[in-house]
Amino acid sequence: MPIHWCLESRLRILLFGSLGEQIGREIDADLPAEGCSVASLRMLLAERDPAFAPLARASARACVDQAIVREDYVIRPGQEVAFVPPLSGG
Amino acid sequence: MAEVRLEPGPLEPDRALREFLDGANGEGAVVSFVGIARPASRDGVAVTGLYLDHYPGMTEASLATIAADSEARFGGTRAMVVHRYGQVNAGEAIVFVAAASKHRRSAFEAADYMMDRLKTEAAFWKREHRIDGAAWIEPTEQDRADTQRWSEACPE
Repeated sequence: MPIHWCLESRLRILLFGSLGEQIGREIDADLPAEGCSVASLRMLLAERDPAFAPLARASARACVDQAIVREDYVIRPGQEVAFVPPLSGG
Repeated sequence: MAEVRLEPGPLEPDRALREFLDGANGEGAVVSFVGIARPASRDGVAVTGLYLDHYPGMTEASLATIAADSEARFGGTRAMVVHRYGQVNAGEAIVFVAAASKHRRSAFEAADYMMDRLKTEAAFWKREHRIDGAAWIEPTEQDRADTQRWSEACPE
């Protein structure tokens, strides 16, 4: 019996501001069932497509479930993930 | 409990103020502020308008935190924030802030405090539409310094 079939889940990543304009409002990634750190996710995306390079920059902050998180935060399946540029304020 | 709203369409400050006054709770002072989209950029280039990108949920929460903090900091103050999102043309109201307190000083300070924090911490990404092209903008050093001054001393 294959053991791989439930090992990955589809992660939807939201992008805002200049990132959304450059890359698109939404991208998908495969997330391992055990989760993946923000730092690994950035590397994974940047390797997949040169257009995603801005997501590897420190100025793009990662948000999970609408709160800014650190690089070692482990993203789990089912969480809402976004990358945001520095806030411009109101 | 602070009243906070995000609005896509025209923001009518007079109606917002009327609504805020109708919610009066015995306060003796009300201060309101209206921010208007400027027709020129920081370096003087003509601007036709702004586009405010927002993160539904997170943006409302950032406004609610700022309004609630002003109510907690200036005791007995009631706060309201109405903010536009999406396309805002130059000359249109982009933000309305109001504070009601027992006495005027707290109301003035609460409104000032909310605006300083909104300028740096509200979860928006702003694209300026200049006649020579569009550009995403960030808070200025002055905006950050204005927010910072509230960390230095607590009035009460």
